Amino acid sequence: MVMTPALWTNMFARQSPPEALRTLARLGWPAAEISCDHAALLRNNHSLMDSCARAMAETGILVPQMHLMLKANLANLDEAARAADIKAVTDDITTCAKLGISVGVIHPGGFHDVNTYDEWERMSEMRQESFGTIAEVAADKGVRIAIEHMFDAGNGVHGHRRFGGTVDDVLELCAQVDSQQLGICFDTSHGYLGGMNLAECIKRCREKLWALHVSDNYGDVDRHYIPGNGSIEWGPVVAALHEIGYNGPFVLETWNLNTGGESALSELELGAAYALDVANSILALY
Amino acid sequence: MALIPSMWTAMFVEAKPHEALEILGRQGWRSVEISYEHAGMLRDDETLFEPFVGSAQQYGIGLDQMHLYLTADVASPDDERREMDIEAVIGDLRSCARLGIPVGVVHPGGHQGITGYDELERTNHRRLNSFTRLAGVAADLGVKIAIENLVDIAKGPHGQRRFGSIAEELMGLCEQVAPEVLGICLDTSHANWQGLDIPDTIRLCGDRLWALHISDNHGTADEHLIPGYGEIEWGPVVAALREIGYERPFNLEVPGARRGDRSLMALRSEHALEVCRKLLSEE
Repeated sequence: MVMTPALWTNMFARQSPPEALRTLARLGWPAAEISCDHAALLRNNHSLMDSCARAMAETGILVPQMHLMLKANLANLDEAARAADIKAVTDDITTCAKLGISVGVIHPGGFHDVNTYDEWERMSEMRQESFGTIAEVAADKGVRIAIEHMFDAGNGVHGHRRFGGTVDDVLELCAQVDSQQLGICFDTSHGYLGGMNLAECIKRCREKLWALHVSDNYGDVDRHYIPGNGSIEWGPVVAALHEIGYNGPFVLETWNLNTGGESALSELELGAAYALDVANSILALY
Repeated sequence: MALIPSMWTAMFVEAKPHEALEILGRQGWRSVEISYEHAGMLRDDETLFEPFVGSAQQYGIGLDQMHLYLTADVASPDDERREMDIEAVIGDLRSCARLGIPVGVVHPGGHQGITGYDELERTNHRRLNSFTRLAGVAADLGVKIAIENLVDIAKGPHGQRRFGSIAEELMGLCEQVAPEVLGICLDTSHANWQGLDIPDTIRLCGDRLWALHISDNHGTADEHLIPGYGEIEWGPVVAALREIGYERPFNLEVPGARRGDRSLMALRSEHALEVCRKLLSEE
């Protein structure tokens, strides 16, 4: 059983999606996640989707997952805003289907402070309803949805709770909606920032773990460093992935070199090549 | 000496000093700063000197600077603590002399909050006395001391000032005490977090800039990232160094990790060297 190293295309966000895929393939990356910014470019743009499909066919790079609309808030109590987000996410799922991408990653929604149990409850209802709708679309298109867990946020004197701050939140949502299309994307940076035992979280997800966002931090800020640049211990993480039989892509969702925002392509490539060495090194730990 | 890539040995903090040199030497690093952890090991264990020098010679690595005792507070109001810290720094200066290291880097001291001008005055007086003493020892040993810029800290609702967060304070200290022995170590992460214009600060330091702690951040925390992974614009920084004729190592202070996987640290260090070469290339 082999996990494939993959990198999200955001490391080359200034290139078009097909260009970014060709760059990653040239650097030796066997797989990629299409990042949310590239997903936005692809949304309803069929000629760009065709270019992506050609890039995939010609380079052989695999694209097993795509980050659906980043700021979609599927628990929004504002009906019009929620409907607009559902529409965008539905369009992104269509992109996945057209490109043969099997998993779309999405945040669970409900980002603002919750004042009362009643508000929490209403948001939960909205979230369940939205994910029910999306799961039906996904089933129809043959795409699976991996819901990414988040972390409780730091605003306020004691921080504030946020849905998805534990993987159990997401597991419960999957059970409530009761769709075969819903699973989990585990984000190592979010988990570490939340003070979680990453290996235990992974084991808790088991067969519902369909996607990974791998990155590092020091447990204080959601930095998304390339692994080895924070303080996460990677051996137990990889061991846990093997233990549950995870054989999906090992997707790095990391920041790249950005020397003053004007990095030359060659500088960006240095970072992406380094990230590939790191991914291979981590996967060899087990 | 030229502006060449250099790495502090703390990238491999769990290794013995000579082992850290061997790893860095194999990767192609030809200049290092001995980190304070390794300086402490050398201070405490006489037997580590010989293999350390051997490793440096084997790989042709320049021992160009040492970070003297990190938590030394040479301006501490606690007489006993201040004396102990000064003695530790002197011990490190002796290590520098023995190893032929030309520059030792030290923090300016005075870490506690200041409640009034009179307390500030007393702290400055203690700092002045301590650096006068250290400068005398350094001069006798043939070693120079580079005082590192720090950053005002965030305690309290409005933060708290700290001596040495701007280069002019350090310039004044050097001039006042012993300009032939005291210079400045510019820490780019501290400067960026402090909100300083780094190229202007380099030009301000001019020929008093004797050491660098190069790393990056996003201006919000002391991240000490590999250059390029934060928000500092490195082109103007390197141009300013060339403009003032800085010909000492471009020394990275990028921390390693205790308990970290050695292979990941090695990759990180190799990548840092590639990044440095790219930044310093004059293509």
